[in-house]
Amino acid sequence: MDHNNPDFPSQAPAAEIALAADDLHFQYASSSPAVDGMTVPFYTGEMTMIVGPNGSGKSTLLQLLSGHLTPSAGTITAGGRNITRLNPLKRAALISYVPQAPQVSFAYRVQDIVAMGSWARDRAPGEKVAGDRPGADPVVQAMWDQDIHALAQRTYDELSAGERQRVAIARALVQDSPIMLLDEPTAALDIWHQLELLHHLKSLARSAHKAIIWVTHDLNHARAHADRVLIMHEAKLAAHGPAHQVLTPEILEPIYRVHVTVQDGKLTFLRC
Amino acid sequence: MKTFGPLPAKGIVLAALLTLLIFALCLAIGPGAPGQQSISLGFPGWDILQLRLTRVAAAAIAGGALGLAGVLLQGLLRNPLADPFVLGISSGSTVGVMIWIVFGDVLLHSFAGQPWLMSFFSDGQSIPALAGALAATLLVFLLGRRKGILEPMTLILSGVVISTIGGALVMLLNNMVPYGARADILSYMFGYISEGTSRTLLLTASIALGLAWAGALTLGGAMNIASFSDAEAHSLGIKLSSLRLSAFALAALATAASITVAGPIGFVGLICPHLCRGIFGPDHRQLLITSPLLAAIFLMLADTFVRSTGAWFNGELPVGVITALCGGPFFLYLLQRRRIWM
Repeated sequence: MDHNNPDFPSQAPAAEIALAADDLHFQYASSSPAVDGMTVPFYTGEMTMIVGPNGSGKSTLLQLLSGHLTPSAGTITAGGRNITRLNPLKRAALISYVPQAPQVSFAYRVQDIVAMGSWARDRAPGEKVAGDRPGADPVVQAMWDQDIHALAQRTYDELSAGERQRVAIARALVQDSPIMLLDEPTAALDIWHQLELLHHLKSLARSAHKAIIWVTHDLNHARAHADRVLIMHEAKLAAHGPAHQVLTPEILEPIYRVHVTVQDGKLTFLRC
Repeated sequence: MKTFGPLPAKGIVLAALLTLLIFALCLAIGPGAPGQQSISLGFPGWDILQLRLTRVAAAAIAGGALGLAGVLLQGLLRNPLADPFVLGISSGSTVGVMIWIVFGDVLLHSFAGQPWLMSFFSDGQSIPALAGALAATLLVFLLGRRKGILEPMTLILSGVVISTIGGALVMLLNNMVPYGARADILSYMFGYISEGTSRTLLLTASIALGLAWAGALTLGGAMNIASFSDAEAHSLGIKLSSLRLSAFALAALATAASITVAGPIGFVGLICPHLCRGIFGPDHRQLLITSPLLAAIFLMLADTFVRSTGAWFNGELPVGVITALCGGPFFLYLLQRRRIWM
C-alpha cells in the first residue's frame, strides 16, 4: 500500500474537535463493562481508525458515538451539544452511521434505500427539498461513488454482502453529515473497492472537512491511511495518536498476543 | 430523487373508485327478502336495501381496518406473519365474549338499576369483544417493551403466548356453557357480520377507522426507514420509541373498530398487505392507502358471498370461513412463488 499518497498531505492540518467522548462508560446487562472510562477527541478533516482485538468494545464505542446506545456514564458532545439528549432528527444531521451488516426487512430497491439517507436533511428547518440543490442529484452521485449505479433497480435481497455494504455507505453519503461512523466498512469488500473507499473517504475528510471514524481489523490499512489511530483493549483506551506512533510492536504485541515486526513501513505478524 | 418519488395519484384514485364500485355491486347482490332462497341482482326495496347497506358498510369498515392494522403491524414488527390476531387481540376478544356468555346474565342483572349501562350492552357481543380485545392489547403492549421501547421480537412472542393462554381460557369457559350455547361461540370465533349491527356502532367504528387511517398516513415515510435495523433507523433520524408507540396504538384502534362490527376475522389483515406489496412495491406510504382499500373490497365480496349462499350451507357461514379458505391457499401460493419478501 502506498504510504506517501501524493493526493493527500501526510498529516492533516491542526483541526478542531468534531466529536468528543468524555469519561464514557457503557455496560450491557449483567456483564463486564464494554466501554470503560474512555476520553477521546475526534477531529474535523481527519480519518480516525479504531482497532483492537475481538470483544475489546470497538463496535459498542461506535454505537455510543452514533447515539444509538445511551452511555451509563459520561458524555458525548458534537458541535457543543450533548448528542445523547439530541432528538434523532437533529442528531442525524450531525452523525451518520454504517453498521457492519446493514439490515433491510422489505424488498426495497437500491436507489430507494440510498435515497432514504436524506430523511433528516429533507426535514431540517430552512432546508429546501433535495431537488432544489444545485449540481448532480446526490442519490445518483452516491451510487456512482460506491459503484452501485448499475444495481439501482435491484432489490436488496438480491445483493451480495459487499454490495449491501456499499449501499449502506452510499446512504450515509447522501445523509451528508459532518461526522461519519463506519463499522468495518471494508470487511466484505474486494481489494479494488477497499482502496476506492479509503481514497474517497479520505478525500471527503480533507475537502469536505468531515470527521471520518471507522472500525477496522486491518492494522496495515490503519497504518497506511489513518491520520490517527485509537487502540482499544479490554474496554479501555490503550493508545491514541498518529498511526506510526501508535501502531508499533511495543504497543501491539501485548494487546494482540502476537510477534510484530515492521518491514518497509509494513507490519507483519507471527504467532508467539 | 426523493424517497420513492411521489405517490402514484392515478393508481390511488383508481383503487378508490374500484372500492366504491364494488360497494355498489355488493349492495345489488343478495336474496330478495330475508330467508329467501333465490339470489337476485338489482336494487330491491328500501327495507332490504337498508339491511344490505348495514352489512356492506360493516364489511367495508371491518375490512379497511384490518388492512390498515396489517400494514402497521407488519411494518412495526418487521415480520411477514404479523396481523392483528398474531398479537393475541382476537383471542382477547373471544375471551371477552365467552365471559359475557357465561356471566352476562349475572352482570346484566346487577346493571338493572342503571339503564345507561344496560343500553351500552344492548349491542350483544360487541362491547364485551371490544373490552377483551383492548385488555389483551394492553397486556401485550406492557409485556412487549424493553427499556421503555416496543421491541419487535418481545412483542410478537408475548402476543403468541397471550393468544395461547386466551385459547385455553376460551376452552375452560366453554366447558361452563350449556351444550346449546356452544355453537354460538364457534361461529363468533370465525367472525361474522350481521345486518343487525346498530347505527351507533357503525358510526363509532367508522370514526375510529377514520382517525386511525388519518394518523397512519403520516407515518408511512418513517416506517420505510424503520425497516432497517434499530441502529440504522436511529442514525437516519427516526425516533423509534414514538414511531412504534404510534403504529401500535393506531393498529389497536383499527383492530378494535373491526372487532366491534365483525368479530375476529382472520387472514384479511395478513394477506392484503402482502398482496399490495406484490402489486405496488414495499413503500409504506402507498401500502397504508392501498391495503385498507383492497381489504375492504375483499371482505365486502366475501360477506356478499356468505350472505347470498345461506341456502347452500344450512344457514349462513361465518365470513371468516371464506376469508380463511380463500386467503390461506392464496398466501401459500404467494409463499411458493417467493412473492413474500425475503
